[in-house]
Order: sequence, then structure tokens, then C-alpha cells
Amino acid sequence: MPPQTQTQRRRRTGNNDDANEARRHRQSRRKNESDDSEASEEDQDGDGDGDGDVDMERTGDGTEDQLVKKLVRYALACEYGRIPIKRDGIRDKVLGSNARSFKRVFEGAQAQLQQVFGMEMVELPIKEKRTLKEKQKANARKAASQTSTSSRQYVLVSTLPPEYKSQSIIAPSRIPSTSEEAAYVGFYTMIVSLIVLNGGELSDTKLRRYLTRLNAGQNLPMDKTDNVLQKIVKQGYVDKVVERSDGDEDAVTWCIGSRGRVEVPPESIAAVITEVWGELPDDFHKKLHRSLGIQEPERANDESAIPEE
Amino acid sequence: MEDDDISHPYDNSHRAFLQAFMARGTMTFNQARPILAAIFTAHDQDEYRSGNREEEPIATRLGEVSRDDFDSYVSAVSAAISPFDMEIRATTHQVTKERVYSLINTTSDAMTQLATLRSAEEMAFVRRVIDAMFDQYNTPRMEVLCIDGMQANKLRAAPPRSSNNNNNEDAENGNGESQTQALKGLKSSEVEQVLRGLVDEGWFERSRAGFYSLSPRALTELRQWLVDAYNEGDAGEGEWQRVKFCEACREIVTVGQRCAERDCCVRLHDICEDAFWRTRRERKCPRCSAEWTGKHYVGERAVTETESYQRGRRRSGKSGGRSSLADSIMDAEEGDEE
Repeated sequence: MPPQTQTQRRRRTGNNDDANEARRHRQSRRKNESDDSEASEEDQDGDGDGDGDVDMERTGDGTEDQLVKKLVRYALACEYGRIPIKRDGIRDKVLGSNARSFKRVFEGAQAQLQQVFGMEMVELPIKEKRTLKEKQKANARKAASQTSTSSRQYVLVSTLPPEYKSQSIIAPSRIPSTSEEAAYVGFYTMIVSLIVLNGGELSDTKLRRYLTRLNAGQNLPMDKTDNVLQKIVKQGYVDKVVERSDGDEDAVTWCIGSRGRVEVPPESIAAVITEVWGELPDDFHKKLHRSLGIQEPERANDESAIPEE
Repeated sequence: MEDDDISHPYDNSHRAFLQAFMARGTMTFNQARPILAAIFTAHDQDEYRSGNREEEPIATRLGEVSRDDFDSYVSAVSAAISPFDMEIRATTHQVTKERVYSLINTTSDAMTQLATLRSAEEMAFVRRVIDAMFDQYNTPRMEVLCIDGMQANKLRAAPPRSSNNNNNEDAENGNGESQTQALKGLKSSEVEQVLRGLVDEGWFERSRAGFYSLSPRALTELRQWLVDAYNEGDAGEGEWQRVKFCEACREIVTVGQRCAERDCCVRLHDICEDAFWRTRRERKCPRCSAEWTGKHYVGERAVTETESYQRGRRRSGKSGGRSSLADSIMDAEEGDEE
């Protein structure tokens, strides 16, 4: 690499930072409320400074650039392994003793991700409380404190317009191999679609019946079906809810996980169904949109979903 | 943010190209052409829809994507990601002579990146394989710099005596250090799987004769790391080093030719040879003036061109004992040396 490109790049970083500065000021007002809880928490792990102003000056320019860069790299690394980007992880691995600058570093990284990579961090929805026990626990907690309105976890998604998302451009990742990745994406998209079409949850027996019909009851191209199911649960595409009941067998229900909700939106599901259906009946799209609740942004859990039985 | 000193604009088409690159890890010009054609088509459609463009766009054909287009996208993207310690670097494939562009990390945590999806045991195994390529099977006598499946299989577990006393351990590898002692190693079937995975991901290449070597991508990404790990920093000029560079192009040589003089360090890629000799009056080593035979090899031919390998191959037919054959030749040669 010729040396002059190096200096050019450095300059570019500087400029971006100026732009970020302006953006930051614009956004700071809006984000103020949500950040209150943040600040009080950070005070507790106190880095001894006491005074906020001093801290701000110390983490100016140079350091903050570094932190933004670290956060971008951290976000990309997490996504590489389909691990959610956790706030706590950001605090430990990126910010270290600069925990106070979370908001500014986060916004800086967000701007860089969009500008350079065409991606952004999207917060995952909070895990729904599915079983009775979980609900009770959550209620008890809610009474005690007002927090937990955010999942504190993020995933990276593309911000490019749909034209750019065609398969000839964004091919399945080569990791672990192109065909395996393609099969994996196809599998979880199918499972998520099945769950959504069944009104947001699917009993274990029913899922197994679907899998058998897909000739995926035991094995998939990459691994045993059960191992792959385990993986899509671990990566948050689906949730496996086990309700223990004394005497009887445990009731297992499959629901959409938080990553599945973000990465497999109703539009993708609609595309899968249209593709699988073949010859489309007249009112297909109307019915489809109703089933998926595409019209209303709120996911429909009401009678518009296909009834269970 | 799209202002001044970036010479070209940086827009969604660049971002899409970057994302395409990230999914693939490496690209050649020929691989990139259909991708860029699709990106240009998408770009035109996007412009048309947002009203920045009058006439309805027609799809860009593959033939319309020029080398200049590719170069300009590569350099724009590379400049944009360099503040994040990433870069697109080109290297020439040592055998096919094709330019291979790899998206790499320029900070020294390349090994960590390679590790993200692998277990500690698998990583330890990969490390043993690379050690074998650059240490065990890379001696002044025989610079094989690759390893066949059978030999790799022998590395599935750490050798009984603690092998971690080598001075190659780097700081970035330190995280696995304490666990390494407790690792049990892999099963034979897992060895195969890991090797296949490394080939699929583009870190290793497998030759027709069944040898695994580092791919252009791995050589680009690990270049500095390999030098730090395997070369002696305080070795004198002209002293034998494990990682050597081509006399012509200055890239690492893992497949190529060597000077007939065993202690001379001059190495040359097969693909650089023609241009190199054209500028010289005689085919002699530029350092020690020994006659350049072109029959002294670096890489798998150091084994496969030996008489005993050829003989053994004729005897045992195409398959079967070939792997163990390579092993016995490499080991025998090493024995000679002691």
C-alpha cells in the first residue's frame, strides 16, 4: 500500500468525527430519557471521577475515535458468529473504563456502520414471557422496579434498499460453506414461516409432523435435525418453550425468537410462501397479507392469523 | 459525511460491494464481475425509482463491467474500511497467477478471527497443522510447506510432552493457553471435517495430490504473523529462515523453486520465473551464482518429485498408500539430516 493513501484515510476519519459531532448534538435531546437509567447505573461502578465534566473531556476526540472503531469491530465480530451484540459486552470489551461515553460511542459506531458498511444495529425485542411461571416472575419484578423495557441486545441488519439484497449480490456466506449456509438460512426461514402461519406458536408434535413431511425428520444436509434445531434456538431464531407439568410429559411449544423476528420479517415470509405455493389463487395476496398481518405493523395475534386447528 | 476529500462518492453500490465481499472473504476480478453487474443494475433501478434518473434502466451486462470499475470499487471500499483496521489486499495466486483480493484484518488478531467459530480444540489443532507446515515439514533440506491428510491426522491430539514450550506463542494466542493443556484433541473424523471446513472457508487449499497448504487469503491475512511466529528476528542476512520471499515479487513462497545450493535462501515463484530471467543474462542464482536448475522445489513437489515418491506411486497405484508414502519420505529426509 502506498503511504499517501494511508494519510488520506486518517484524514477521512477525522472528518467523519466532525460530522458525528453534529449528529450527536441533534440526537442527544431525543435520547435523554432513555439514558437516565444508564447514567445512574454507571455511577455505581464508579471510576472515581465523580465529576461528569472531567470525564467528558478526558474521553474527547482521540479516545472516542478508538472506541467507535472498537465497537464497530466488535459488532461485526458478534454478527459473524450470530451472537447478539450485548450492552454488557460492549461495556466490558469495548468501553472498559470509559463506560460513561456509551451513548456517544454507540451513536458514532451506528453512524459509521451505516455510512461505510450499509448496516445498523437494531435492538432485539424483549423476550416474551411465555409460560405462566415466567409471567408471574416478570410481574413480581415489574412491581419491584420499572426497568426491563429494553432487551439491551442488538443485531446487525442491512440498511440497503431491497434492490441490493438480491442473491447475486449478497450470496450466502462462505462460512462454513456456501451451500451449507444457504441450506441453513433456508431451514430457519421455513421454520419461522411455519410458526408465524400457525399463529405465532407451534406445538412440538406439529413441528415434527411438518419436518417429516419435508423429509427433514431426522437429518438435514448439514447435521442431524435436532442439532440444527438446537442451533436455531441458540442463535435466537426460534424459542423452545418447555412447560413442565407434574406427571405428564412436558409440553413443548415453538415460538419466534428475537433474532428471528428481526431477521425474518413478514415480507420475507410472504416471499417464501409465494415461492412455495406455485400457481397462485386470485385472492392469494390478500389472504397472505392478512395471515401475516402485513398491513398493520403490530404483529397480529388476533383472528386474522390462521386458526390453530 | 459524503463531503470533500474522498475522491469518488461512496454510495449504496459501494456498501453493497463491501457486503458482498464480506460474505465471500476473497474475490477475483472474474468472480466480481457478475456481482458488480448486479450492483450496477440495482443502482440504476434505485436511481430511477427515486427520480434521479429519467429513462427506465436496462440491466448492466457482465461484459460491461471493466477492470477499471473493479479497481475503483476495490480502492474506494478499502479506503473506507481502513479506519477499522480492515483492508482489501491483493496477492497473486502462486500457481494459477490469478490476482486474489482478500478482505483482511490488519491488526494482529487474525488468529482470533479464524477462531471465532471454532472450538478451542479445533483451534489448537489448526495451530498444530500450521506449525507442522512451517516447522516440521519445512527444513533447509526439504521445504514442503504443506501437509497431507494422513500427516494432519497424526496431529489430531497434542503430542504427549507439553508442546507449548516453543517460543512461537504470541500474545494474541494467549487466551487459549491455559486451556491448551487440558484439551483432549480431535477424532479422526473431526480432523477431516475441520480440514474440509478450512478449504471451504478459503483458508487452506487442497492439491490434487492431496496436500493441504495455506491459501492466498491465509497468506495475505497471516503474512506478518507467520514472519513473527516462524522467523528468527535476530538471524543474519542470508541465513536460512522458515518464511522466505520471492526474489522477484517479494511475496511469501510456499510453492516455487529454490536455489540448488542448500544453504542459499533465494526462492522464486514459478509464475515469476519468466519475467525474472528475461532481465538477466544467465540463469544463475543472483546471490550465490550457483546454476539455477529449476528442479529444486519448494512446496509439495519437494516430495512428489523425489524418486522414491514416484517409485512408490508406481508400485502402489493411484490410491492407497500414497499418504503414508509422502510421510515416510519427509521423515526419512529429516532423519538424514540429523
